[in-house]
Amino acid sequence: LAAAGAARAEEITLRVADSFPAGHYVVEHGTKPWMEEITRATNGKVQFKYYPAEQLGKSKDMLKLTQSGVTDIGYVAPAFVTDKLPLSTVAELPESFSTSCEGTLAYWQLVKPGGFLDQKEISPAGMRALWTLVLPPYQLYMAREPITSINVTQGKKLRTTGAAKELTVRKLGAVPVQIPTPDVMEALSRGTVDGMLFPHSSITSYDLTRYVKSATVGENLGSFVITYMISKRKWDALPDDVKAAIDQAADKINRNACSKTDQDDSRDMERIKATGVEFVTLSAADKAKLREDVAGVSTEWAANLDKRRLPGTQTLEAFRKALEQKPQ
Amino acid sequence: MVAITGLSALFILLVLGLPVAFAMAISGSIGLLMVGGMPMLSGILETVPFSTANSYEMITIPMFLLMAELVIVSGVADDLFTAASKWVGRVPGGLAMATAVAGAGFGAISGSSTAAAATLSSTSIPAMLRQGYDPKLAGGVVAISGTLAMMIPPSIALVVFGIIGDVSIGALLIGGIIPGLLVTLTIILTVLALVTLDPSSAPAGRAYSMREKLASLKVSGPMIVLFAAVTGTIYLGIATPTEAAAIGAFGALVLAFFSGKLTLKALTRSLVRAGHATAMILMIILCAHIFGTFFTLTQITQDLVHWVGELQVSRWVIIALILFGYIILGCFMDQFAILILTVPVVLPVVVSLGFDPIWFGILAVVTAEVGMVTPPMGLNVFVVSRYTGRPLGEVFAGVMPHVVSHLILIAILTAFPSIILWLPSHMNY
Amino acid sequence: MVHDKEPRNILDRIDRALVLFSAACMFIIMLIVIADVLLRYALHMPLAWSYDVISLYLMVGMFFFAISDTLRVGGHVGIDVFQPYLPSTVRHVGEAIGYLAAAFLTGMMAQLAFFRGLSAWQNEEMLSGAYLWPTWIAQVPVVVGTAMIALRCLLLAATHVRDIFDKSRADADMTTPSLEEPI
Ligand code: NA
Ligand code: NA
Repeated sequence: LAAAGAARAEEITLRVADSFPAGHYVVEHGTKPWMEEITRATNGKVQFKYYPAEQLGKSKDMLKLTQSGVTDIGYVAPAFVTDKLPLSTVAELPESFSTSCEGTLAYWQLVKPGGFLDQKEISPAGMRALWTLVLPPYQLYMAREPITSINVTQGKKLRTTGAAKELTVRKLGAVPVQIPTPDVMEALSRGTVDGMLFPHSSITSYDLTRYVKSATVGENLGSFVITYMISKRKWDALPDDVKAAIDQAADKINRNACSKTDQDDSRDMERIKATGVEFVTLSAADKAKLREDVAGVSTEWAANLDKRRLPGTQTLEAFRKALEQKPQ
Repeated sequence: MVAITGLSALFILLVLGLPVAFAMAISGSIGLLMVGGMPMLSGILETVPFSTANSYEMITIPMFLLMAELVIVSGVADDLFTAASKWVGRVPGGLAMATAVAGAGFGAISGSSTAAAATLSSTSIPAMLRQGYDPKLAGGVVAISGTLAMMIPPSIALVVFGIIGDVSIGALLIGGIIPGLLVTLTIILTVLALVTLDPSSAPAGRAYSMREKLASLKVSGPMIVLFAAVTGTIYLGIATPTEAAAIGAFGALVLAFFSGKLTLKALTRSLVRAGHATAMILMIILCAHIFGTFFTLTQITQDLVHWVGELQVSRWVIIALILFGYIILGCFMDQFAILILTVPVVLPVVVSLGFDPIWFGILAVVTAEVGMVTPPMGLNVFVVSRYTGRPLGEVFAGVMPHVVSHLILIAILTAFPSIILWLPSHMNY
Repeated sequence: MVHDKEPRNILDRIDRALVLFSAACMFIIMLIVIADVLLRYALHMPLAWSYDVISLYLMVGMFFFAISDTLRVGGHVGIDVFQPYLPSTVRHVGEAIGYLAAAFLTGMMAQLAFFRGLSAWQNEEMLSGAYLWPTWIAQVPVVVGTAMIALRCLLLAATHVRDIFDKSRADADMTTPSLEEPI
């Protein structure tokens, strides 16, 4: 009994907060396995209280809420805090990777403690990345038309979110329309938008198969970055063995989350295909044209940051280098 | 222990009569200080105020409020009762029924219940009294008819529910149509019953020629256009609810302009009044976030959902208890404050029991309607009493039969969810 | 009607002026959304900046520039059915403490928003969408609005403190929000 008491006295409870609904795949593939892994690796010393679904605050406030200790660990999406972490959206650019794992493992080289982005803006913000997930690249979905060529987007209204993808939509000759994800179904069925840039997984999770006609395969029209972070203040207060366990878990969780996400992606594509949605592999000529169209997106993104005396081009180069190295 | 301290502080501050928003902010902050000290409190106080306002969907609230103000300026609402009374005025109790119809018509172009009660007070009560109606019956039917604006889209109450509960605002608004019509019918049937029991309480009026009747319909033109501009565009998907609200406000502005009553002063006044009402609602939402974060950190919501899930009683008993609680709260509290304060805790429970959130949203608002006319705090009754100079007690007594029939309707809507869910389920095609 | 309360002091005048800014924000929001919808259908050219401008600046301005004036006209609803049954000293002491606490919290909000805006200004923080939006501007209405409501809460707390000792005014001076706000 005395031993149990001593163990309890040592027990550390950490709050984890995010904005994902119950059962979301990011939580199933990343957040929960991560919490379980830490508890296991510390022999139960670290326990978690998990607050999903914006219970502790909105996703755009999660950085601040983690910094101030409302939560110990928070889901930080750089896209929602472009004012605080503008460089960290680099993996959302239409760069040359076509799976979640390619993007995730390369991006981790930049955000991990000591990495380029950690040095440039994460650590200065008083934060430390714990693990990350770059979603499988977004594809073009059209509501009513078959994608016979890449010209199908000319003059169309495409739903999108985030700065980089908005730029991409413009480069495709289309008009970007910002609509919150829960309203996309309405927007598609009533023609408020003609299509969108979307990951396959969101088509199934938001039950949109009935509202789309065709989609591209294997393109990269941008992505979305998810990180879980802890404040350095909280980090510094953790005992060394816990720090070691957390550091060791990162690689395992990154790989687990991205490979399961990639598996889901293939499975989702099959499911969507089964409902009659047409998947189109662009012709070589169209692929080349698309690459050419979106090539300017990344350089424009970087130049805009350079103008603000932020290392945009350097960040882009670092990410491209990490992609080339293909971390195993 | 921490949770009890926070709840007690909230209760004491509310009873003292402090604005509901402040009561929630203060008690929530005390709780946050106890849970995580000053860093936690300042983290919340830095993020929540800005985040609450920094939201695109939130513009639905000021736009619907502005629409209501401008509809009043246009004077269209005043003509509604006259038109309705020409059609049914000759029946015993006809003017009272016309009041319900006018209330529904006004509700179709305005989301504000108290504005509806005020408008109806100034037109229909004098007409009914002139015709020898029992003042009790006249005041009661006006107070209850005013609540229709809360149910029939556009409805600010449904928008607030949608924002707080993260439920589709479009589906909620469309879901309000059929229950709104049923409430209208309920009011008419209640009047019919009252007149049958005591024919002297509502003498029949004069008859109008068909020409007069048709001529009166010209008021319905702008009304139908405005209704179509808002509810029609939402149903057909031409615009999102957010955009539809702005279209409605703009439509009401055009209407007010062509009525010749739109001065710069009237416009400014409408904007400022809509601004005050928006600030009131958003301030409660803001402060409810502060209290809500504290409440979440104590894990009471999660425990409650878990506890209710383990209960060995029918889920219908739990729904009945929740609605009963709303009726009790409605006796003392503002309807928006009730929704904002309770929905974050109650909705997860309701959803975990397998109920539809749209259905529950409509039920919660119909129930809140009842709170608008129950003593001691019945906003619509206060408005009617103030506008007509009749005693409060008389209006409360006059509205009682309507409360009873409302409760019956609530029971029917609860037992047959498809009445509410049928129309929204046809939106997507 | 409560809305016709004339401004009586400097605080009132400032609030009255701020609420006009709020009204302007509301009117502009309406016009932008209408223009956005029209352009989308007529020219397939929705306004790329409307979403950010409305949510970042106009909504924030509309709300925060109105909160203090709303308190001035008694627009923040409370429960006043129990007040007549409370001993007047209890009521005034309670409300004095309540408004003092509210002043402290809203004052803290103002201070936090001020430093948030200051650091956003110093670091030239931008929200990057199709355009770059400086974020410090959005904190201005927050600072102004919460500071004004903090001062007004202090004023109300002071009124209640006075009424604790001055019984003659205690019953006449109803600072409780009115119920006549249109909803
Ligand atoms: Na209405
Ligand atoms: Na009531």
